[in-house]
Amino acid sequence: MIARSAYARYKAVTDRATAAIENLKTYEQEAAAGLTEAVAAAKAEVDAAQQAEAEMRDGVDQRWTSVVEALWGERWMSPGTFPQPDLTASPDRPVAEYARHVQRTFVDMHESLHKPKWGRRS
Amino acid sequence: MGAAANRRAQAEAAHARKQFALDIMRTGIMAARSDDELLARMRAGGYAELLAQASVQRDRIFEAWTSTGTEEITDLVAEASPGSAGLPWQDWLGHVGTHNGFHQDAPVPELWRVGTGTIPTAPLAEEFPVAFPLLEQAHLYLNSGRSTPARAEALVEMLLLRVLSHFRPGLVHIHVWDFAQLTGSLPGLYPLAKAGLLTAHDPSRLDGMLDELSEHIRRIHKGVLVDGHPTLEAVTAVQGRRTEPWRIGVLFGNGTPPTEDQSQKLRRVARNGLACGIQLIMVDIPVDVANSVESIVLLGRDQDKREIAKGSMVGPHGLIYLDDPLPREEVPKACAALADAMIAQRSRVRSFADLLPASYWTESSAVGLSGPVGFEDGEPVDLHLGDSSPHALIGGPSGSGKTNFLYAMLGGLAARYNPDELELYLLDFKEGVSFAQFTPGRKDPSWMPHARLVGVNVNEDREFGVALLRFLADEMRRRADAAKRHEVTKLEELREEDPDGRWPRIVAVIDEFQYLFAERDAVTSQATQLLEDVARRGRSQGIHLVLASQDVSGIEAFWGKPAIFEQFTLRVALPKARRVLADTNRAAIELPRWHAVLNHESGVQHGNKLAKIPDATAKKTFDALQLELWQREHGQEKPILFDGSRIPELSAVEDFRRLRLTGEQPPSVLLGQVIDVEGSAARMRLSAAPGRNIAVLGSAQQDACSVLSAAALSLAKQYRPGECTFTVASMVEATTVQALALQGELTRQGHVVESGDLESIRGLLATRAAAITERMSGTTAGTPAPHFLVLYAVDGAHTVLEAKDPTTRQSGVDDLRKILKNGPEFSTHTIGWWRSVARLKTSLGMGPVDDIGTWVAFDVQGQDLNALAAGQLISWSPRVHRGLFFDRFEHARPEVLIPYDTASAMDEQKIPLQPTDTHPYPSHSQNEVRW
Repeated sequence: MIARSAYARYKAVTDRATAAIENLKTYEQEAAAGLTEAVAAAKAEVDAAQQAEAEMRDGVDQRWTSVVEALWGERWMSPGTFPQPDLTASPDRPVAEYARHVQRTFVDMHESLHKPKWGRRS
Repeated sequence: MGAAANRRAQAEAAHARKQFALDIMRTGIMAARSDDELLARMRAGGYAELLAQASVQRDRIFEAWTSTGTEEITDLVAEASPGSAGLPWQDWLGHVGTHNGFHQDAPVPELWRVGTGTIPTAPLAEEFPVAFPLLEQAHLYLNSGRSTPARAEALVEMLLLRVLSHFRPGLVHIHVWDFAQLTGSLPGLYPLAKAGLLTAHDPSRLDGMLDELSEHIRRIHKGVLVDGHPTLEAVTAVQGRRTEPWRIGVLFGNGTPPTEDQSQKLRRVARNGLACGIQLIMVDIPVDVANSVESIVLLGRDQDKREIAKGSMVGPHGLIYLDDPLPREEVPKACAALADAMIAQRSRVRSFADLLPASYWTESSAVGLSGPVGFEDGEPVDLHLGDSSPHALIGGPSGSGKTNFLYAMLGGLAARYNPDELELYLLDFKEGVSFAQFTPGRKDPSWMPHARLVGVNVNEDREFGVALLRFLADEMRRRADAAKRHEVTKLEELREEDPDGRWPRIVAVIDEFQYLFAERDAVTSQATQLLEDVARRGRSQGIHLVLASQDVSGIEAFWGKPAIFEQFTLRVALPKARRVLADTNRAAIELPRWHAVLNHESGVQHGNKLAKIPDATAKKTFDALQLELWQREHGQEKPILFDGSRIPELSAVEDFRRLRLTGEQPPSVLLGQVIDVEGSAARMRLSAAPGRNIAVLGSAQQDACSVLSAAALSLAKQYRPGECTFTVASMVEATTVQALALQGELTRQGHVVESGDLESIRGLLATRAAAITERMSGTTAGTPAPHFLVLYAVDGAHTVLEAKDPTTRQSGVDDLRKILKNGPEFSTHTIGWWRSVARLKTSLGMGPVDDIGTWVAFDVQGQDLNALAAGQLISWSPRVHRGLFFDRFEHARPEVLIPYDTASAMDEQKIPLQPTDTHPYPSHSQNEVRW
């Protein structure tokens, strides 16, 4: 076998640098393509979370307004201020669970207002 | 609400992180590491590990380069760019190179340094040496780009000086063409011009330079790249030295493309040049010359004021920091030193020793034979014998140095190729004995181990020339048969297929070959036929003819047959040689003494190469080489010597020595030596059949006696004493001595010998004839014992024999005729000498001449022999010590015979050649002749 010339060997080594640069570029392009999709998905999740948060707030707000109105006659009772989010709540538990809890509390509140009370005729 | 808010915050963080990762990839991992905005985001978002991960990935991708790349290149350049090819200029500028251009001594640098390189986008931007291939590897294209033409010129100057300083002066020639100026480019190199190492071409004529380079390519292709060598480098490797310089064509353009015609020429030179050692360095010439081009584009200076460039050797992402230019004042000094060394080298007196290689017998003749025969400007001039120049014709009048040229040529070849690679067959028709040196002599016992056959003093023995040509034709057929068996056609291929076989190239030199065709006779026509055969077909079988002559112009056999002379593509003309070169080529006329024109192209003008031929015949030149080669190869057989002036000694002849008591019948009779390559004996088989008698004809007594003695002595060796009988009788006084000497030797050997003379011959013949008659009549039974009658000057006894016996009416001539006619079938054979053809005819009478089946004629005219040779026309004029031998049982036509010197064969017992009395050898009683 004829030994490869120094010329060919030299170029083979510098070709490795050229190839590495080309490979890195390809890797970056492929990675960027993958990440572009991931970023879009993450953005969709952000949007969904923002919407869920807004909906929750609206629900709580409606119920809060309703409760404040219902308690209007109960002069002895001060409704206080609109409740602040409890940031200790786990984001991992389903929001519906919290929503059900708010609803149950809201219903309980109304039911207790319609119960016969001492000294009052119904 | 808290949970929802948390969830939103969590999604936002994930998004931002992914966005950061994406931005790294979009920016590029390398760039991201120095991007301030990204780095701030990284710190704010805590994304450091993302950049780290990307960096790890990048490092993995770059591993093949970063792990060993720069070290490998550094080592490679250290190895491939030794000396001035890679070292800083302080180490070599001004020194004269010594490299001889042949890679076995020290490798020819493959790469030539231009600067330092780096890959800026690699994880570690380490630096490594940058070197480019030059000479036979690749052309170089230079673009001065954002720098200046002057900087490009400085780079070219540096590269050229690296190359020029590496090799022995003369091995690199520079051709410069500059579109604008004649003396502007590379001014520092101009001292080289005075030594012919630099040629500045006319700025208006790029074509002139390209044509000159093309001419070199054409010449090298035709004359040097022969025998299948693809490149000059390959030829150099085979020959062990470089015979052609490298030629570097430097072209400085101005960025405008050359004309289409010029571009085409440039492409052609670029395409074919490298194989012929022709390289181009093109500066600012926008021509796409396709493959085998490396390029450098200058980029000006970087912020550190370093001259930077891009280059194909470092790839598109590499960067070259060019080495500083050579100091302006040092370059002319260095070039002047090179030029002076060249001039000194040229003026050296070259001798025969300079024709010889450093080490003997290292070259292979598989594809051809090559060797220097002389020098031009101190540089060796080579002669090639191979497929493209198979045969040589050498011409030069007497005293023009023809013998010297042949010695120079054969010395150079013999020193390069061992006897298994080259065999010599040498023949000289001239009386000067020019090839005697090749054979062992009295003073010098050595011989040239390559010589298998040397013919000297051949003179009139033109048959020997025919014999040599016939031998070559037979050898050619033997080789062709062997090639056929291996399913190949050429010697080169046969050697590949049969590596253990011995297939040397044969060089057959015939000096003064015009003698071979001197007469209009059978010899000339045979020689012409054989010459045509060998000339046409010897080429592929490695058989090369070298024909030399004082005057080749009148050789009809040569010029009359294009099939012959067209094969003699190598022409060598010595001073004043006529017609060797083409008619319009007058180079030989003005040639000084001791010079020759070598022309491998059938003598056309552009094939001329002038060479001064060193003295190869003086003492301690060729003879010293021969002695040295002989001492190396002591076991080699001596060459067969054919010396036309020497008479072969019977006792030393191999065919005679080999005769044994084998009891083989019929016995062989040796009569003399035929003219063939082996020096074979002229032999006939003495079978018990009619006509098996031998007549020696002519008046040359000594030659005739020699034939009779050789015949009798050769027979004597094949019988035990008593198994056969010899009758030795001389009819004239003049041959008594020879007859007695023969009798003496036969008797000494113990054979039964009866002697006779003029007085006793009649009785002897009568007894023989009577015995034959008895045999014929069947009264004697059993196998007759062989009886050989050796009769000197038979015709001298005619008068005695003609007298008739008064009782029987039988004459002695009748008895002789009976013996000749009926003797052979009863094993009685006559070996007799008649002093003329007419006298033999008298002996034979009116009848047919068939009773003489074999004859040897001396000093007899050819036409006298026609009747004895079955009526064929014999063209023969008498020659001294040469006879014509014809055996009608075996020969189509007579052969020339050289009689043996039989004295030593009869001298073993120091038998006195002078008779002491009439019967000096009394018959031994037990050897009495009985029937």
